[in-house]
Amino acid sequence: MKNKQEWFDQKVADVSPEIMSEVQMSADIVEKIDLILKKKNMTQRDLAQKMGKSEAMVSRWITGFPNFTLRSLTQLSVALGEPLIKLA
Amino acid sequence: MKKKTTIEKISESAKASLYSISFEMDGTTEFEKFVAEFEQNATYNRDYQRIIAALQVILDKGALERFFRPEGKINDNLQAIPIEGGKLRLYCLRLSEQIVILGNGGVKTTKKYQDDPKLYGYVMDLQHFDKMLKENIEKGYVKIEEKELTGFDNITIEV
Repeated sequence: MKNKQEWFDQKVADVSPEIMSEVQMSADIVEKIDLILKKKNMTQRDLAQKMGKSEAMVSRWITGFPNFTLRSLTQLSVALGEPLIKLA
Repeated sequence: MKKKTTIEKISESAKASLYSISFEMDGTTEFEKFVAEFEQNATYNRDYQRIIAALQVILDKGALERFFRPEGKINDNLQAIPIEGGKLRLYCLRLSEQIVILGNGGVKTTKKYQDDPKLYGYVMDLQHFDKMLKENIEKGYVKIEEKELTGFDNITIEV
């Protein structure tokens, strides 16, 4: 087990800091969207309707590790009624 | 020809364990084959790194449903790690929020994985393994205890 664990840890260490940060940030944003949806008792369909998007499109933003754009983050923030990223 | 399989733990954290399938004749896990094929691939290196980073997130946060995309049938555990915009796929079985079994993967160049013989083969291996695993869990030979899968020493699963 230790050998495999060490081998995997090395593969993780080989990931560029930029990509690791991007994927972690993506997961954090998806988690925040999920929390807001639960807090506001909203479904994926509600969010899609509010954004005027298809459910399939919205599903891409609330599962996996999406590559958000400033536009998609803004649209989501407005539809959810809360900022997804706060700048100091 | 049926292939004898076993599983090996690749990594574990406080939240989850990652296992991978190994075919007896190979002596290396399917996930290790995936890494060997793509870690030095210039075209898909960014996708590869994003998948490894995603696995670390899964270890950090748990194998939450939202981190995976169902790829199989309604009643199986087959999933893929969804990397938006990329064509590289890693297939896996998500057994719970604490256990994931990694398979192999590759570049998806067709609309459906079923249209790519190589990817279809990887998926079929995982689906067969999933089916046999369920049977052995139902019979009590294999046990899921939080992050641990136990009982594989006493059984043979062929896919």
